[in-house]
Amino acid sequence: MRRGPTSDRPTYLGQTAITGVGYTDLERASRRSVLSLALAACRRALEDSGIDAAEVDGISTYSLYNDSVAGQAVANGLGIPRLRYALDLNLGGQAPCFAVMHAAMAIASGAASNVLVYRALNGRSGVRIGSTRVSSPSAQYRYPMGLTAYPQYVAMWARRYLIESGRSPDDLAEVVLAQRRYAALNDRAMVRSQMSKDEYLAEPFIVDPFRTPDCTIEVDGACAVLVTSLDRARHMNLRPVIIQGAAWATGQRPGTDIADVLAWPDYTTNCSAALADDLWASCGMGPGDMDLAELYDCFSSVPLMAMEGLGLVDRGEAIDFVRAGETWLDGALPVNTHGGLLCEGYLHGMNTLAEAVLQLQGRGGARQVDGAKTCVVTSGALMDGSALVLSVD
Amino acid sequence: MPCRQHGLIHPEIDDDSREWWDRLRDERLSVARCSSCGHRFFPPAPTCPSCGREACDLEDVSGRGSVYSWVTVHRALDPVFGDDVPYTVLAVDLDEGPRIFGRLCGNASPEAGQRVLAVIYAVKGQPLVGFGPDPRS
Repeated sequence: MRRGPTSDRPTYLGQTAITGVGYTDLERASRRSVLSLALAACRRALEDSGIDAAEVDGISTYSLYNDSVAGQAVANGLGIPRLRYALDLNLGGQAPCFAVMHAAMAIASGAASNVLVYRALNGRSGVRIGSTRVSSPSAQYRYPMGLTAYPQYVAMWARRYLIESGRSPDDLAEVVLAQRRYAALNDRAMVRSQMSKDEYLAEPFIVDPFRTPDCTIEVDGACAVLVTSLDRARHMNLRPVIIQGAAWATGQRPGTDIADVLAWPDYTTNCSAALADDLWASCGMGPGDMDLAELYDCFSSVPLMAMEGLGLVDRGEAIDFVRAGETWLDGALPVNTHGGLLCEGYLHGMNTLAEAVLQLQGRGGARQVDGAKTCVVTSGALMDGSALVLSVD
Repeated sequence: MPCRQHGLIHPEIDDDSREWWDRLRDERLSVARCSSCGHRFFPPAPTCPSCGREACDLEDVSGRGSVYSWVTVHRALDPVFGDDVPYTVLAVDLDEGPRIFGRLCGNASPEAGQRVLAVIYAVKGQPLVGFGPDPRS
């Protein structure tokens, strides 16, 4: 990939931390407003952190296709007396690590002190991303013939990845089976049943190479985290999770919008590869320093590309790595310990990030990775995306 | 090689794409070419994504290319295509360089690198690009 300018370690890193997390239930029909979901998740993140809403002065969120509520509305509902920082990103799964990265910049620079980052949506009973027809300049080159939705775009990349890796669609089962195993240990997961390879192969194709279990489960729900300075975090309820590394990146020809996948030259490398050098340089650590990884997985092929793109495994080796059990609790690198978006549900990666926080705080319960001190988190599946490296204090 | 497509979402044609669709109506498949750096690209755009300059014109292409990737849709995610499933959409690397999406015309299973030739067909009067086997290969 052709590279542009790179930088030394950004000065804002290592000074901020994530403290608490908050979730609502994840459901197929919440029967409540998105605003109500957002408020509930944010309140729980504050309770978890042990601070009052009056101390919050920043709020950040992301949404797609008008599926959520603005930070201002949530600040209003929480009774925040003085908001100094608000960011509403028009992004999907590429956003959570970037939103936290941006909050960290705001806090380190003094623009804000305590920033809530949330994602809230009725993604199942309301706007469903997987079948929403959107108006965009790129749509005219795919919609007319029936290429209309993310599962199909990502599947187009997955096929090429399988071709170049010398694999077949059936090999994607490894990711599904491994993440189902974790989901069985996660009360929040929408799907908690384990799956055999035969059961996987009997599932119908949605869009070949993806069968039903290769696709995330759209849900109603919300998830929030609180970002603050490391100094303040040390005086809160929970062990600070330090934001050590962060990057957002894309490469040349990222398209004209987040669904414009056509012109990206190499469907076997996604945003993870584009941001890897910046990410590792930003924290002075490397792939071998990670104790676990929470990798965005709207579809089963995506964490494979992230593992390879970040250099956690060699190119073409991710499926074998998963098949060998190396992503399980006692493996070389536990991955997606909550069962991923495939099993827990599609909160567009906010829950992927929250799981990393729980793990580093030792709150993973039956799925806790022993002695987890470092974790890499990714957000995004296609051209652009973001990532964080988190550590214990 | 027939391309049997029932459903259609009409393209939202804009100022940057109108000429490309007009040429397709004349059964001409084209890509954009930058007269400054020579880069050929698709879809057409106001500037060249390689050098950023504005000197971009359409140029007709052979329609020949190789299969880069494909998907076969078994569940229509837009109900408009409910009568079409299963259907296959190819990503084809044209010999001139750019990549383009198009329906697979015919029943053969695609293969990576397979040689294909563009077929321009119409659905409800709307011309679209599909791909069938290249008889030369």
